[in-house]
Amino acid sequence: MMPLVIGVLLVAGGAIAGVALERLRLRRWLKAVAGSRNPDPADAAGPPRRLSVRGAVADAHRRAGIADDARLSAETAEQRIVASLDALQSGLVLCDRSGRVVARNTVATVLLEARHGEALVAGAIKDLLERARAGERVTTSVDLHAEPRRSYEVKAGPVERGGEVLGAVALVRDTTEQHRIESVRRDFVANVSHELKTPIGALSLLADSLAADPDPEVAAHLGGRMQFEIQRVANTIDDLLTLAMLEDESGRGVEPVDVGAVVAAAVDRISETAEQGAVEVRLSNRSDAVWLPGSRLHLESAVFNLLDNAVKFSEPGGRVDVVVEAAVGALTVSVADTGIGIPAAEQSRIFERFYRIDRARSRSTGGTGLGLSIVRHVALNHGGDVSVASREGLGAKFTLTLPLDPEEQP
Amino acid sequence: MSEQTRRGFHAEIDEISDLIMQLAARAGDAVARATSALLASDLAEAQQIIDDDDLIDMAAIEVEEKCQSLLALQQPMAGDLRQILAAMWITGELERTGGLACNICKGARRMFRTELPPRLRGLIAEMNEEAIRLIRLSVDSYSEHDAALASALDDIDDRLDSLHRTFVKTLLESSRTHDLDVQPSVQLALIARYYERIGDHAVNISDRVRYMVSGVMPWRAGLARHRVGDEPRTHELSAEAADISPNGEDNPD
Repeated sequence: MMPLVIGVLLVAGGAIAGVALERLRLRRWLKAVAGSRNPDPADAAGPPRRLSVRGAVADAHRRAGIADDARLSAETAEQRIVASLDALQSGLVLCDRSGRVVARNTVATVLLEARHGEALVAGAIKDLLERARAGERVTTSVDLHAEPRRSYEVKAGPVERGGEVLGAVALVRDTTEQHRIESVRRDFVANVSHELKTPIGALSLLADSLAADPDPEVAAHLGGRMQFEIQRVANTIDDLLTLAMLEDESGRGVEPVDVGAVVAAAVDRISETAEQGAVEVRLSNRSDAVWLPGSRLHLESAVFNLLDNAVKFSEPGGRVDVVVEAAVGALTVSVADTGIGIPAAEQSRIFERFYRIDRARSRSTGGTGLGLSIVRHVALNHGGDVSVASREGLGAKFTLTLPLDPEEQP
Repeated sequence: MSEQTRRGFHAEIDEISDLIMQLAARAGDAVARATSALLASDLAEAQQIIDDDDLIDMAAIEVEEKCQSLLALQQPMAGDLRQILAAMWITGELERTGGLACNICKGARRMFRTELPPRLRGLIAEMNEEAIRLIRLSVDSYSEHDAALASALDDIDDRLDSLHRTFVKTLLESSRTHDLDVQPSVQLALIARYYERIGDHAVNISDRVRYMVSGVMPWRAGLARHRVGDEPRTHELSAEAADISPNGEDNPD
């Protein structure tokens, strides 16, 4: 995949440079370069072959009607370059001196004709092309705020020959995923330092007070607080080790596991905490004993983590419904609570390590910020996934989906 | 009109339609952005949205001026005339939608640092989604000259109206259970009303689309009823006790 993407990008880069140097109309330019300067786009993916335009046309005629898999190489050089540009994930727009669009690829066509949010991208493209025709090189970013949020980057520059501006070219890129990865990385560093530094800072203060105060009653109290903070750090380290182990163990340590029994065990473990918080936990197993290959220990810890969250974020008098259900080819375990819920904007991020919706709250609810990462890793290790559906104030429902391997059914 | 003038004329109408798409995209985005700023108590972002509203106003003025010059210079008739009139009206509705997004931001400013009960946050998010959906549907009906979709919008708007009612009811309960002060309570009630108004503006757009496509003026239905001495529609009378403003009807005339 990677070499193909790089190849396609190279072709695009060549195309932009070529546009600047060659004829105004992309079509003519394509014909001119196919035989001379730029590598044939087919070279990027396939065996090296060079063709003149006339040769390519003749070639196309000769091969017309032959097998489908050779169709791309049977096309004219122009068709192939157009096909490459259309396969790009970026949008490309070329306009002439008067501002009339003379060429655009598929992505650009979709964006230019878009309604709603993306119409703003079309507006930015037109705006930048106009400035580029005046000789400027310009870049702008467009952020769309309606869900699902998207970000685009638009770049434009003049197409010049011999100091004369012949038109302008614009390149549009969807930067949503890039921004997401950047914020994951940025927040991770901030969150991990918060999570590790807070208890250490507290310990340091408590130790100072302990050293300064000779009163044994105060000392006992401070000692208790220190133990609490130490337990927090220990929990974080335990969870980090669990995560590291899960990453290491993907696809290993397989045994037949009765999922119903695993869920029942997890519900049993949470029952005391739930009782203290006046939260009712109901288990309903709607499947017969289903066995699937996996790790009993890890599955139980995943379900327990979901239950722990559900109970923790429920108000007294709340209810947690645990349902085990067999669907076609998969088993689902869902944990639904009646708690505070999760804001829509955060739902895609809560499975990140140390991610907290509300950092200020995290200390009062305890937890390490790693629970849902562990759940997701366990799910992935079993070939499944975990998803969330929630509305703030109406609770959240987490669903663990585990694919069944029919051969493993006893 | 000669063939050539007509071509130029229709190119200009297309351009106006493109500008309205831009304007609608900006207005819809402002609503989504205002909701995020409100839920995150982000004052800097709220201020930015208020500042960016100038762009919406500028775009609206641009459309209006283009429409005026077309009316003056081309003196269009029938469908062409309706298209330009509709464009001018729709522009006004979209400009107001942007203005309401600003009002949401100002409300967010006035209740800064108030911790909202989760259920109210969830309802705000829902009203935001519903309002944006209505804007999109009205823009779709305009762009596709779809009178059927436009006629459906009034009914689709019922969902936003009912969310508004639920919000007010929940707000009244929350002010007891969650100890909400008067200022944030009032702001929240107003903000809910802004979302409901955004939905009404979308319905107004769809009325103008129906006029543009068919020449019928749906907003005159009330006037016609009045002339023949009919009773007003019943739902306009049924104001509930808990409801500060159930009446989403708006008279654009």
